[in-house]
Amino acid sequence: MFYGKARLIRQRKLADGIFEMILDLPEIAQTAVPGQFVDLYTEDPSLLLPRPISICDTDPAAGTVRLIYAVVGKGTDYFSRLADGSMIRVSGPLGNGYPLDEADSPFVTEIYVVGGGLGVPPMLFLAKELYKRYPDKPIRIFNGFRSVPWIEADFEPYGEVFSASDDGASGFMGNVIDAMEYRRVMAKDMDHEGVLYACGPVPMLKALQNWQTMYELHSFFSLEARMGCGYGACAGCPVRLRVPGMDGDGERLASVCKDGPVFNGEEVIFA
Amino acid sequence: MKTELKVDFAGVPLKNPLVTASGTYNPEASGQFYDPSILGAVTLKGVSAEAWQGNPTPRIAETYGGMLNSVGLQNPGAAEYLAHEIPYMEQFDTKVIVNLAGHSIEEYERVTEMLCGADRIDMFELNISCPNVKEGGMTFGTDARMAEQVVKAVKRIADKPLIVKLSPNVTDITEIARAAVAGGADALSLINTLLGMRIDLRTRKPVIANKLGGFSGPAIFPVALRMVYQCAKAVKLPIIGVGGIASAEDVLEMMMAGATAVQVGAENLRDPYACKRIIEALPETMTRYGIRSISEIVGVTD
Repeated sequence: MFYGKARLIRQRKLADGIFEMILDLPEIAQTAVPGQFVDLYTEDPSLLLPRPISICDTDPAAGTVRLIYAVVGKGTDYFSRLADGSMIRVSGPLGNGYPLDEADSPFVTEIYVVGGGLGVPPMLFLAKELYKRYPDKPIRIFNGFRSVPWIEADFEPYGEVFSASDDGASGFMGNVIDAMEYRRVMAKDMDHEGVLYACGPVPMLKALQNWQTMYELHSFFSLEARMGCGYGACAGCPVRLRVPGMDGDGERLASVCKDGPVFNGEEVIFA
Repeated sequence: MKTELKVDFAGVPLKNPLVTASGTYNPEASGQFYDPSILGAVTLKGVSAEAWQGNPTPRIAETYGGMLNSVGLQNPGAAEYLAHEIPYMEQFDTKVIVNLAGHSIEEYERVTEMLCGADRIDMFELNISCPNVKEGGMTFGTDARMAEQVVKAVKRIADKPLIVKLSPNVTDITEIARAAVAGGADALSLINTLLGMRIDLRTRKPVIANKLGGFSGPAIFPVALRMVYQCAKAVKLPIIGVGGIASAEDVLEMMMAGATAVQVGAENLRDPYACKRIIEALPETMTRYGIRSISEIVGVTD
């Protein structure tokens, strides 16, 4: 795992409170897999904890990592003010990443990539890698935004892109699940077996968990959590997982940062 | 000038006074960064006889110069420690302290019994100061009579030196330190976290699911230092100073106050290399202050 300083090549504002940074990070660019994240550390002594940010994309040849994040507090505000050329302490890649080979089976004839809000950026890296590996399988990309999308065209080379927005500013008016249901019904292809990869707010993942049980979809959710260390030392970010058993379901705890952030969607117990 | 980092802590020789604090360091996860063998000792996270699920999330929040946590001693139980965590330490040349948790005297006794005979353990640290569990934990550490009882009960069983970890959430910490002495403690570690709270202005709710959490980090260093100083003056036992240590200077200051060794906690989260950085900075920092052997400064401050 890499831990050290990385140069901020450039940073730009994508929308109100949404920023993109490109970091010179060959060690992470060459080893990260979709669904993994990095921890960014501030040098402000009043701020103690690292901030986990999902990897939006990598360019292994150029040695760069692209991150998209929202300013939600003091730490992300600190990062958003860093000038191009600044050095940032980074560790990563962290976490497990999405299991791409779940889409290997010849019976899987459809791949869903579903992102909501700040869950959209990591799906770009995923969509790109899925497309590389399965150029012949239909990849259906559903991105949900509150309003106008701040990332969209980047997805187009990798699949069929559907956007949804809460206010109808762009694409389908409603949430991604409405959009997925609409598309399924309109396309009249209800009987595909598929794999669904998702990242987004808890209400979206909960709704997806219900939705996928109606179809034969195997799902993988990437979870967000308030973390401490980011690498499995502090037990700060547990998730409850369902363990199917003969005498009813049991439960176990896993840590989002180390065992996740990606978990089998059927197993996640949302609080 | 050649400097000496070795200390003798309650009869256990440590190659240097740096010990990781319970719950902030995991040899497997943290060992990705540097070799645990450079440490004076590793404290394994609080373990109870049976597995504990811990508290609801969010468990972690940041505060100015520190953090709140409400993990609630989530752990897989002593049997799992004997099968995995403790044998895992065989490969490292460092001392092993195991932090013991319980809800009642019986539970503290049971976890101690289960871990007795495990040769890889060098010391036990009795956690009577966790602010995040409803029964047991801090309730033992804030009542002198109960503190003495639980220390006595565990000391009767323990086959390793017993460190008692004290809570700062009391009016007079020396009263609890004296109770630990009366119970037969071999050493003290202090302080555990201070009870703290933050409120989210938007939701108007506490940021920690359990409402209150344990406050740690550099912001608490002066409080920890003061309590170590008071306890060192009040009792004769060796002390591990813990609370907000983030630099070699902090280590020296804590030792001058009366600590023989120190634990580093929250700083491991801000910098996964914190202990390595501090150990490497010690010789030069000691030289700057005219210290040849680190043990010579223990409790020098009047």
